[in-house]
Amino acid sequence: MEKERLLTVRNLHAKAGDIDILQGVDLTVNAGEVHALMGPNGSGKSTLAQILAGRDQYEVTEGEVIYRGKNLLELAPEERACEGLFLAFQYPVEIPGVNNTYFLKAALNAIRKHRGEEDLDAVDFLALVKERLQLVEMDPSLLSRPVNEGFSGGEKKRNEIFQMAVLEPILAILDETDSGLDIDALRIVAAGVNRLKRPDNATVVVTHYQRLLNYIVPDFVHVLIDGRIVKSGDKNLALELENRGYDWLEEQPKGRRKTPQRGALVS
Amino acid sequence: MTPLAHDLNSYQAGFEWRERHGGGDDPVWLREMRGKAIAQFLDTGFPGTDEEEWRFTNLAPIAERSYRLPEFPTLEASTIRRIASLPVVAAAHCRLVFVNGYLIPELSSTSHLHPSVQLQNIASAALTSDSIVERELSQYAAVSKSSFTALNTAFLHDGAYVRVVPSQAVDEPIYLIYVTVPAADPVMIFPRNLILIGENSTAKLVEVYLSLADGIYWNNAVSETVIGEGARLEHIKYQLEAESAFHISTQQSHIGRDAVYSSTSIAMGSRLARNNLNAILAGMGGECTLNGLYLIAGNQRLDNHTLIEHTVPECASHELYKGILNGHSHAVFNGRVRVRPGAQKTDAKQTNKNLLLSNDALVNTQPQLEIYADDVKCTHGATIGQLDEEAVFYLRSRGIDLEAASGLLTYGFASDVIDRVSVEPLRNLFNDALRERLPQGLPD
Ligand SMILES: Nc1ncnc2c1ncn2[C@@H]1O[C@H](COP(=O)(O)OP(=O)(O)O)[C@@H](O)[C@H]1O
Ligand SMILES: [Mg+2]
Repeated sequence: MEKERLLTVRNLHAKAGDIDILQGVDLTVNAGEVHALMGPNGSGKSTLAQILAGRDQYEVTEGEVIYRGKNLLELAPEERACEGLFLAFQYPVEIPGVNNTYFLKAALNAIRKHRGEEDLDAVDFLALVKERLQLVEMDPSLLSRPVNEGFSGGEKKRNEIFQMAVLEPILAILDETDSGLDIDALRIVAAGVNRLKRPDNATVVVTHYQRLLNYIVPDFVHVLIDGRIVKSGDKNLALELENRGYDWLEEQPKGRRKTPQRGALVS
Repeated sequence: MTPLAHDLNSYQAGFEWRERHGGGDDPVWLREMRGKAIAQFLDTGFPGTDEEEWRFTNLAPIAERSYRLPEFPTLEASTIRRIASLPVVAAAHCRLVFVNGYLIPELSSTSHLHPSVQLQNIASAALTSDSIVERELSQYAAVSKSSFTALNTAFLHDGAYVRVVPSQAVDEPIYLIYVTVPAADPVMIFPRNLILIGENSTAKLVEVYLSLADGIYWNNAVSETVIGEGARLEHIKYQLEAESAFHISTQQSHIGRDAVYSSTSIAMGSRLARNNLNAILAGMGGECTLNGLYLIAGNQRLDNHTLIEHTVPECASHELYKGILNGHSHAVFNGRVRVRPGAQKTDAKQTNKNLLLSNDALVNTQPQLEIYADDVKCTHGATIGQLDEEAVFYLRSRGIDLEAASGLLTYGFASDVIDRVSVEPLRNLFNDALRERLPQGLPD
């Protein structure tokens, strides 16, 4: 059976202000696959993840992104979420005064509405929440607290995966979900992610350690350096990176390239 | 006299009218008090924007109108029912309800009243020359310091008298509800409250100002509150006046040794409102918390002036005022903290945060720390900003649309203050009112 093509990123270039960050990213993700996106700090992994989720502070200057047959870059962030895209943030945002459960219910019902489904009533919603909480073994008391406010680093990461478990995305991008988790938490979260895996969904795991990939085993590993995917391979590539670092893949000195300022070229 | 004082004669005439219509029967001490106050008001008139305290708030819209003194309202049964079914009235088990400044016994309810609480209207207390009322009334809010206190005192004829005897825990909140039924001619109303919390007692008191319909009127209220040694008072004020109304209020609170005073001011109504909230920490170990939330839009003007005076050592004060502004509204926050000489080990913290939902809204925020002692900890901070972009994006990335995300964040911003109120039915009312007024709406 042909696997459904979920995501095609072609020659994606993007910048923030006048700093070029992505310099021609190509990536293809099919249903049922797990991809690992690796690369040193500052190589553009989060930028790619945020652009896919719809953060408008980045300007796409070239290339395209097709998500399930649609031009992803034309969709508002909420439309992307409603279409099944999910980003677990590297730095989950604190939302003071907004109750975690209320927030999640609003999110789930927005997505259900988009799909033409009825709102979940309070009883069904709570049942779902209870079940999914166990998946990530998250402390239920976090539900009645404001979203992420005062959560520890690990609690925030669990809350991201918990949201993912409730919202059941088709394409999940997990940005450094492993950082801030101790080894036990890492195992639990990874087990949760694995349990959510289905033939019709896919996960992109962003990390700069190999550690997480012992638990979430990728079908493909990509190395992003200076805004470009410089190497792709299978899970063995992650092990190689663990041993050799990234240096051998860096073809040019690191550092941000500035686009020339308009009018700055005087002879 | 300031240029605004052009029509003070009408106040003199009103004063004389009141003396002829019932006021003349009041006890001598009260008549003397009023006589001094009207003289004071006629002498000073309305303050102008050339005065530091009124720099950002122009009183012309109030001063240039003339007002009638309302007569005792004859309320139809349907009006009574409407008032009784207002959510805040229905939530108040223990309450005095005033309409146009007059106590309406049919709307009031004291059946849930704790036996240690004396709750009656000032008019009846004065009539029987209650010796405590005679001694305490007008002892705290100084007629000489404020034109509006002077005017309120000059026209003082009714309001609430609340006294909790020492060493009592009064759980049931006591509501003082001032309803205005606007008429074709603008009226001016002078609510006056005297609240005395005895030593080591605890109580909750709620002042509510609202209107049955839109119309021009002017409420000029004064509350004097005394929190005895070791006592605790949670004092909530909910201002929901009509869109065209004017609201001026002065709350003067006197906090005794080891007493805990916590005030929350929720203001959403009126066209032009000014709150003067003055708290004096008069005994060592006292604690004062002032929280506030203002939510305004359109052409509303709202001015909060707070003053916390640390007069003795080892007192703490915490202040958090938050504002949400939309449309062309204009808010003023002025938070003065005065640490008197010798008030060592003072711990004072003040925060004012403003959320602007529109480019045309305006905030003037100003902390004023006057510190005359050296061993103190005083901090203050003020912010004026829009919704946090990262937070908006986070919510949208979960499927919540821009409108709803903005609504949620605005709601969250305000909840911070609302959640500090201990009276649950009130919190629910505030949340409902907030929801209703959120320009963006909220998910169910
Ligand atoms: N909004 C921004 N403005 C300016 N520079 C940015 C912005 N976002 C990211 N960058 C820069 O782009 C580079 C890539 O960042 P990021 O995508 O966060 O890397 P990674 O996630 O791989 O560590 C870094 O040098 C970072 O400082
Ligand atoms: Mg990153």
